[in-house]
Amino acid sequence: MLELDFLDCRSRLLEVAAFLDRIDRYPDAELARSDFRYRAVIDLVEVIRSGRQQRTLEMLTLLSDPTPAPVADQLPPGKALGAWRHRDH
Amino acid sequence: MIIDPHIHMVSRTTDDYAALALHGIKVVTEPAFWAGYDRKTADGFADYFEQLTVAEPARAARFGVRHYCWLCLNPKEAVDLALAWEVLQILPQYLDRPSVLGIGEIGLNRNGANEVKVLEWQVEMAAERNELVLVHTPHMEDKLKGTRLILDVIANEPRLHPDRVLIDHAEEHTIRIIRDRGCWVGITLYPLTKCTPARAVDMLETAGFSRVWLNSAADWGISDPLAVAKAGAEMRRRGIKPQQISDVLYGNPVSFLSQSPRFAAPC
Repeated sequence: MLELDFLDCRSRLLEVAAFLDRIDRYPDAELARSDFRYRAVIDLVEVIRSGRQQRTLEMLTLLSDPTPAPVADQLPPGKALGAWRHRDH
Repeated sequence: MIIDPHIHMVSRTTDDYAALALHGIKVVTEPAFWAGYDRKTADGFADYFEQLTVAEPARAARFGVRHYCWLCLNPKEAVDLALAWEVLQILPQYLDRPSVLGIGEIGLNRNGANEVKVLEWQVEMAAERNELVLVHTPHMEDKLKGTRLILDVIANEPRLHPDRVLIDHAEEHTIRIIRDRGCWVGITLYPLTKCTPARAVDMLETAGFSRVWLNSAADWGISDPLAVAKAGAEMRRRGIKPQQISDVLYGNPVSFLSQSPRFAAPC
């Protein structure tokens, strides 16, 4: 697997680093770094570094809304953003 | 032979039908879904059900592809309860058509209270009519919570056996809780918001090859109608046994879908 997939993995990690560099380089970088999605990316990188098994499951859980109750409906419905907005609250 | 059990062919070109046939995908099943805009009347849904049950099977047949469908009110248009109720009044007249396999894709989108209510109505209809059920789970941060809510609604309808329910768009954090409730699992190969063929095969290797199918859910978005065939190639690359590959791409869908008397397995 390492022989087959290392270059693909390397490429994807470089894309993540480039994404963070891009944010840092553009206006409003400070604002972006305080956004829940930026912080989620940093936390996901920590999961990769952890050495724990089932990292994909752990990352998806970290991004998920953990609350049990249905929410108030909106018309039209809002879009999913990819990370739970209130995780740090 | 491959079955793509979840693909939205009304959004695809005839070239895609030709490509499906060339790659051995000879059976597709198409759930009713959101068209990319909100339909404003029940008549709009009636036209869509007509397209799914009459026009699309004829278009598929020109390429030697057998087309089945699932009908419902999709969760993204389930917020307006008055319109939802109107649509559910006309839905039963289409469910007995010869290519209709059951009710789907029902489920949740943003986990709203009205969405849950409409899901309960449609689960009740499925139980009363003894229909198979295909369930959409929400995207991204809503998926884990939505999957739990959906499984609770299904568990609260004792007339609906979980063996007749497939929960789709499963990922690493939901696949086991779906299996634990006795439902079938769908894994969707969709760029960005769902998973790649490589991750799907990882899930098969770690969670097992039984009671699971793979689908492309190809639609009007950035998606790949050949994704299921590509997952087959990924399994072969990893040295997975041909029988296991055949089970996931053909045998498992046939086992689930054959619970509907309107499904005929291809020879």
